[in-house]
Amino acid sequence: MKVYLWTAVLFALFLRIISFDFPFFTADEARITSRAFTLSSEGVDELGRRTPLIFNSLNDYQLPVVSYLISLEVLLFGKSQLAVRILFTLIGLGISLLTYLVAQRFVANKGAWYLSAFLIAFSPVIIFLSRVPNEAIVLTLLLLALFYCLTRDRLSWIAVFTISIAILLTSKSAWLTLTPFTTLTLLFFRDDLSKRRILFLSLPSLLLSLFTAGLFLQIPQSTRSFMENNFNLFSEPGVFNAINRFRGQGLESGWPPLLARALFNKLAFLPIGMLHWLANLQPAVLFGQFDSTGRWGLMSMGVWSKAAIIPFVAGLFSILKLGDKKILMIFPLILILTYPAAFVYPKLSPPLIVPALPFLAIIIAIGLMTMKRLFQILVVFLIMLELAVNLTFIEQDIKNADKIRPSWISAVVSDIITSSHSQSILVSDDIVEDILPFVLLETNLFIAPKFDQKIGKVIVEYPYKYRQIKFGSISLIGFDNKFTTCGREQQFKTFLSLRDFDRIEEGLNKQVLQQYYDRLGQSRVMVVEKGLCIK
Amino acid sequence: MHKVRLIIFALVLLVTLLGAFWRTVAIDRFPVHLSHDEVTQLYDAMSIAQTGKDIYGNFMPFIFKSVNDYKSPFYTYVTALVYMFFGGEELTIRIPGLVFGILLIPAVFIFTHALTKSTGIALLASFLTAISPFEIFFSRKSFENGAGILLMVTGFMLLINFIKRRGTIWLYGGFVVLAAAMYTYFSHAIVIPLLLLSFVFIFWRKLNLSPRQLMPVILVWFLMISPLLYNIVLNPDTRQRSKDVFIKQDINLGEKLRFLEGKSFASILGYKTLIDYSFNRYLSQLNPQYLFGFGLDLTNENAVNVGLLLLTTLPFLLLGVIYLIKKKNFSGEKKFILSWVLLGVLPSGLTFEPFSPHRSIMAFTMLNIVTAAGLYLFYINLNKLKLVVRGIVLSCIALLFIVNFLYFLHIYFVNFPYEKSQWIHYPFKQVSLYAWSQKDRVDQIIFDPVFGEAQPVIGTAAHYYLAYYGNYPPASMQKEYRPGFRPREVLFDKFSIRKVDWREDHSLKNVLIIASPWALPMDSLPKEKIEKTFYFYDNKAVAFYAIKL
Repeated sequence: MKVYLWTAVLFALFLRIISFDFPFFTADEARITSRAFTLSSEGVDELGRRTPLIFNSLNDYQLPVVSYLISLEVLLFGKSQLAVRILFTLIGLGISLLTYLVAQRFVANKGAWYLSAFLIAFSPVIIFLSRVPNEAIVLTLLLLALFYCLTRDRLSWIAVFTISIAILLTSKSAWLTLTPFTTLTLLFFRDDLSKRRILFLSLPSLLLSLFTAGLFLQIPQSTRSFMENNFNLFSEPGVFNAINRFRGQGLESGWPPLLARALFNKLAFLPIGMLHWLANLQPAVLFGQFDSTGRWGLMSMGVWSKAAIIPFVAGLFSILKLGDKKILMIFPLILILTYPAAFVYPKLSPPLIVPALPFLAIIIAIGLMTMKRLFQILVVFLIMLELAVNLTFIEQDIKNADKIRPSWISAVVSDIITSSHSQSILVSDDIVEDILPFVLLETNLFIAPKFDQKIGKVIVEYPYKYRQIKFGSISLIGFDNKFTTCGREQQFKTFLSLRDFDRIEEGLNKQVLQQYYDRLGQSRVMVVEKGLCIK
Repeated sequence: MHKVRLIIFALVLLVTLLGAFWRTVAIDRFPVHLSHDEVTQLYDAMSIAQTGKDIYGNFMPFIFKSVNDYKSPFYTYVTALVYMFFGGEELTIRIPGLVFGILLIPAVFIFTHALTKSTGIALLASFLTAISPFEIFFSRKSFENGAGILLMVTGFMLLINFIKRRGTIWLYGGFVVLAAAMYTYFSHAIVIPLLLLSFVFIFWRKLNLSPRQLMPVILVWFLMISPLLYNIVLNPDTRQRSKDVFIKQDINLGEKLRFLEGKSFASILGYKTLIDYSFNRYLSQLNPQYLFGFGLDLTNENAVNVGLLLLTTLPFLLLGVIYLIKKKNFSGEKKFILSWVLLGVLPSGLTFEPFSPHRSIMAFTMLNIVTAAGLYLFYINLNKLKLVVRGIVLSCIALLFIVNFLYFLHIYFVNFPYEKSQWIHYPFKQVSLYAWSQKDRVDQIIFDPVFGEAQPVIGTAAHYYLAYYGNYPPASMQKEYRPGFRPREVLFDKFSIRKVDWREDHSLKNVLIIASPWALPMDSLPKEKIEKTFYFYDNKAVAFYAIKL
């Protein structure tokens, strides 16, 4: 049987290697990668801070594990996007292998172990996330490793402790899930430990989680970061407005005010959050479309191919019918790993359900094992076929995700870098989400911005949603800037978006030297050689 | 035994009366306004009853052109019958929906009993049918699907009885009723044959039919549905309707397909994209937020809305699934229930709207039955507890149900009219009544139905509203109704329903213009010429102005 496992691993490796430059990095992925380059070469991040623990992104703070992991890898294998992709490919394969080991804790059937590993290896989401730097896949690997360590005959507390710390430093969502995950695993998979001892042993994970969260709360913008990125359900204005509006309508209609207060109040967050949480695990996400933006997966596929829904349903039926206590534990584990998604509203949170995927794979594997051999082969074949077709014809995905994964930007960035050696550059800040990480990714140059010589520190110490607007001779044009004519010494080469090009007033130089087009054939960047300045 | 049956009968009657109460209470006032579907079907029904033709002069049409949405005929013809007894009151259009909705409650009891052989589950299923938000909502809004579901559960109940009792009458009865159900709504015409096929496939051994027995039944069924098939395949209007609502009309899908233009394998990849998209939409119908959170879409805030099923039933639905999975000697029934749900949401998954609950009601009716099984399992297990604990748990659950139901009632009776009055064409009735009251004062009445609280929308069926509320004889409408030459113009009698272009229209004389602020230049509008202002249900936002020139 091990031949099957290694065949699956090799095939999974092959699937991860074909079209290896797909998907193109998003601005944040480019930032993580470029940061890893500067960390490995200069020991500072993109903002010039020496070995910080909290990093910057466009939407939130970033925790350190992913950035340092990549920088470590860059130290070993050199500075290239390929090296970064290889690291995550290896993490993806590691998840497959760990799923094989974890499945053994739930089912005795060897076939189900191999199939679980196979299903993870052939999950389009895991394949996708194995090609770009992201914390979801690292967290998944670590959680599987923790589960494996906790359920081994010989419990190694050093390993558990180390992995737990790594988990807490990987993702904020882990601060909510680590303790219940550890407790539940120990409760149901360690028959040799008493309940009191289990609760006692779970205490360190709780303390570690509280300590990490407490440290994070010392940062000036931490509460805002929580409310905007992890608990935005509670600041959702639509809900508050609706509650007040509906109460008012009740009063106008002459219904008892007390009834309106009893029916429409802040308790509404409970069902809203719960349904939102379950919506993150709905069949459409698992087998239809995992992510509609192209940021977290192929846009035409769910977590698995469509055919996998049949063994999934069969697996659910089989598990519920058998009623085995250990297998049933797979459901609370899945729910615990994904419950932080309840608080991120109104959009679904694909990365938050990634840690639960290995456990869902086990359910499908159990379902596959209940099927007749012929059906089994047919379903497996269909799973592989759909995946192969989607990975072969990726053009549509590239086009659909063109706004956040701008594969055409390389040419623009290359032009910007080349030109920046000889002259000053102005670039519109809305060409892509954030262009400077792409510039930083392509250049060997590093200039720490906003460095205060007097205090010997960077001015931006805890950069929340910080957007760098100057990088050496490259400056960004914001919507509040206005175009003017230039003095003799001031001559900029300007890379303009349509928004800024239309804002250039009559009389100024609007002569376009060159245009860059996106994958949809639309003009995105217009280059004006000289004569434009901003104020 | 006789006494037990009597109690069961009394309980079913009680549940039916409870359901009837919630379906009929204040039915003349809520919904607060006839929707465009209601007014078109009512006026076409009156037209059919009086002249045998719809308002466009089509004799006994198989499909009603209505407002170019080509409505299925069942509800209009049934309303025509009701009209003969009750006349053209607003309530007339709601009577068939109410009757079918109320009859569904005992029908679900009988069907569930036949399927599960459990009186407890059957009673709970009929209770859930009586209080389900979606059942109450659709029963009150004059919707044909209720008749289809009633016929569906009756038809399959007859077929299940055939398996048990072997009388040919059950077999023929089942097939005939199911054929009739296919005429009620287009989605039923697709789902019922598929469901029937799966029923026969699942229960093939139990049905134990020889070809000699089966062939005549299929022949009768086929003869009954052949006019429907003929129309679906060959009637250009029906085909147009199918095309209009097919998923290909979805804008996002269209964009995805455009990305493929000019590429190699574009045609094959186009089909693949279509399958991917439809499959995702199909599975989205099982989104718990949709089922329990916002499915009925009664407010403008998805988070604080009403689902198709009561939220309190969610854990019992899951318990019901477990119960059915574990139930022994129930394999066929299990598969049939699963097929019903999976096929039931198929039409919604193939159409252009992300969610169209009216096309999937049959699936939700079955989900109620599964939930009833869960409630039953819960109750059985509860009996193992001490009396006090049992009492406390039952009280808590009853309280949750009551609060959840009150929440639905509040949203339905209070908030829904405020939030969605525009979507039921409020205040087209008031506009129509006013227009008729002014008819003799002016030479022409121009009505531009573009209106909206947040954004402009073209209100449909304006000519139906005007004709119905003016007691305009359908026979005259058939003669008078004609398209005009101006944008969106249709004419009858003194009415011109069209786009108002103030630059040209301001110079008209002795004309009444009814138009919304979206269609009028509010800055330069002579305020003294505004004779009446029509508001949305909230009495704050202006819907239309009536301007006398």
